[in-house]
Amino acid sequence: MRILRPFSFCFRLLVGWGVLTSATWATTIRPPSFEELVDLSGRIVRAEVVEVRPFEDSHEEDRIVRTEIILNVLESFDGNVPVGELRIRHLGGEVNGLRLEVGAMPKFESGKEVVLFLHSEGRFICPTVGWGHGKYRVDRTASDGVARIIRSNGLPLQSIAQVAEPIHGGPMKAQSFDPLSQPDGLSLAQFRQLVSNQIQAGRQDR
Amino acid sequence: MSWRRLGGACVLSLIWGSAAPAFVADDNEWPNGNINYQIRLGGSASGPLIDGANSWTTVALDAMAEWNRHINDVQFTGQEASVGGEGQTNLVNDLFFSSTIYGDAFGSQTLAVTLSLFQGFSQPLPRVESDIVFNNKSELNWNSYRGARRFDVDDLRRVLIHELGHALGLDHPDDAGQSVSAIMNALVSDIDTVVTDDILGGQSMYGVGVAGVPDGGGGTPSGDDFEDDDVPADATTITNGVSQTHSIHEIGDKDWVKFTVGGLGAEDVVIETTGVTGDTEIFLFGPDSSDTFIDSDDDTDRPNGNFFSRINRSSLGAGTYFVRIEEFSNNATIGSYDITVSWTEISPPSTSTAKLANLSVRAKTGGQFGTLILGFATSDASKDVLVRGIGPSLVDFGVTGAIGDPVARMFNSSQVEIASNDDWVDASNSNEIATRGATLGAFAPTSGLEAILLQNVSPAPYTVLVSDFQDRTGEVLIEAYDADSMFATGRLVNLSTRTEVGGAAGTLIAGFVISGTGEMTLLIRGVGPTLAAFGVSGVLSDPFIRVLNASQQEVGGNDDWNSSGAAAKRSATATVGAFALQEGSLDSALLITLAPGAYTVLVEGFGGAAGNALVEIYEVP
Repeated sequence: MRILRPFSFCFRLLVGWGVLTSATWATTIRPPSFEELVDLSGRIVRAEVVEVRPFEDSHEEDRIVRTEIILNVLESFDGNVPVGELRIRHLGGEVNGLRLEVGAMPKFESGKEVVLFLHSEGRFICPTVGWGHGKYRVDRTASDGVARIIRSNGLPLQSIAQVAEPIHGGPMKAQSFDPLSQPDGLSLAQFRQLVSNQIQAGRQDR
Repeated sequence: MSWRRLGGACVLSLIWGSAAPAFVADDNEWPNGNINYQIRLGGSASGPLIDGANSWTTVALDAMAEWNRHINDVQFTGQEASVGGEGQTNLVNDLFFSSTIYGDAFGSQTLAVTLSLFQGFSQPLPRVESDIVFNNKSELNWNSYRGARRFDVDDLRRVLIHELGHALGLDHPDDAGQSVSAIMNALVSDIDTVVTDDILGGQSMYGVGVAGVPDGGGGTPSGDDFEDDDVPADATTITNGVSQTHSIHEIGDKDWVKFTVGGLGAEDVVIETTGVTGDTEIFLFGPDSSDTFIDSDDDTDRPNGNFFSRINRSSLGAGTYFVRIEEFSNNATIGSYDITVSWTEISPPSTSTAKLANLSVRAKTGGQFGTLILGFATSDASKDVLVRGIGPSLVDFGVTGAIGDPVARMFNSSQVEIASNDDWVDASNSNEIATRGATLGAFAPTSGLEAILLQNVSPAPYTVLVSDFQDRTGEVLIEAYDADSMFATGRLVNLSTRTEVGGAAGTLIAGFVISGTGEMTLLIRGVGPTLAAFGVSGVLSDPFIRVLNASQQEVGGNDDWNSSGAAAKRSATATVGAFALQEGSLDSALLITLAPGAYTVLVEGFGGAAGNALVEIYEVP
């Protein structure tokens, strides 16, 4: 009987994550592993983007543009975020003939459903952990009706190991076998469960 | 609205052919002239940097120069300025370390950020300021160096070259879904300076600088002196031990070399690439075929940071072999690398070539019998050995009661585990195991649960423990094969195993195969009583051994070792380094000369006695 034994299962997963994590640093961002993404997040929510509103921050001495994203939180995976409105902000945007651009800042679009891994409350240049690696779109257009998780590059998130891959998802060195890989992409339900598992594992470690 | 040029234009892509650019350029260009930076990095570094620079300002100016020589309309300039004078929208370009980005936290994963300001009354808004902020948190270990990326040091220089690219208006080509070698990719890599795609991106916005259009930016790629060598038919002949300098001059370039081994073949074959920067993968094919795959390597045995490749083969038969060299992911160029192939021609043997090709033992393992342990030794030179722990496949040979899932663990003479395997089909070299096993004539296992190791070992004794994954008790066959060619120098010279004999354990069965030509002499021992001197209890009081040939004919045997030829046996024992049998003991030993073929050694207790016994087979030189 060939069975995937607990040790080899964990070993492969750890090796895969370790390689992927340690081998790929972004210039501006070190892509987090899935474990890091969950552990570093103070709030994890599924929400609908209601409005994307750049504004000139009058609290600053200089002319600063920030962008406020108004979310309708549908579900809180972690952090006890109440269902309903949540406002997050990132540096940069364009208003009144002034544009402040921050490289690699994730883009938000009104009407889209997203899963966000957010820092605890505070003033961060970007509210998502690992920037684009902390923002996923929920796609409900698949023919089988299953809601799936989409990365910032528009491609399905096929495994949680892919969280640490470059956003474009191209070939990487030392790709490891990942027993959780889903060719069609992880479903929202699968992703939710994996997040939940990691939250529990993180708490046990603590 | 975002104004971008992706990969130049379709027309340009056609001109550039396979090396189509993938840069992502903004339309918000700087006006012609200098882009001046206030370098507020604190001047002197804490000590000499890895690349010899002694100040961050020097590093910054050097990074700027990397861009300047390739672009024309704008040039980066900079001067050291006081720390702390930066401003976010003051229309001054600041370059500085900070723990925040003007009060906003970086977030734990962020190394550096470029903030670009655009201001005006018509689209596209003109670029008026680009500040570059490096995270100065203590966990980061900033330095400056060239070459392959180091995991414990953050290279400020290559990060700055990347950020300056953002300041020019370039974005991440990989984030735009394109696969190209570029320092502007979102990922830090071994690329430590601007490369073709980056340069073409910069030149699309600011014109061609003094360095001109890079190779791959137009016309026919030049490549190295051995081009065209992209297919086996154009492979360059490489001489034993003489290196050649090649390059992967464009994305997807493949270089082929070939070499010919004559006579009886070669041993100690090393095929390797070396260089300063790059990540190669090499593939070996042959003999006399560029399609028959033999081996490949990325950088498996190289220390951290060395991404060049090496294939070691203990032997190769005569013939012509082909080597293909690629960039690992076929998504980058390599400016220069050396390829070297070296080997030692095998000299014709002067006398007998007979040697032990296979040693095996079948016995019970687990439970009352303990874990079955096979010992073997190699001599003369390192060699490949194929070690198999066979359980479920034994049913194909009518053996009942075999364990269902063998696990094999190999230890060196210091009792350090050097290899292990549970299910051979899960081994990383399972294809090679199957191929080598077939070549050696080993029966093909019909179960993936068998434990098989293919290991290169240096001349020394080794032990292999085979047990059942679920600790079940049953029959198991352990085999050790000489997995090199018959002309390889290394030899299998000894087999031993100790286990219960008689009673429920039955007869201890060991096998060996002699290959080659001529004859060889073996010392075969069945030891019981002398084991007591080593603290073994319950020994087989009176073992006797029989040797059968492949036709099951008895070709030799012995009951009590000193009943005949004791002097020769003592001498042979000393020659092979075995422990001496007690004088007058009922241990058995046989000194026998045999021709090539397959043989079986049976160890039983005289008169049906049972107990612990050791069987040993030594080559007597």
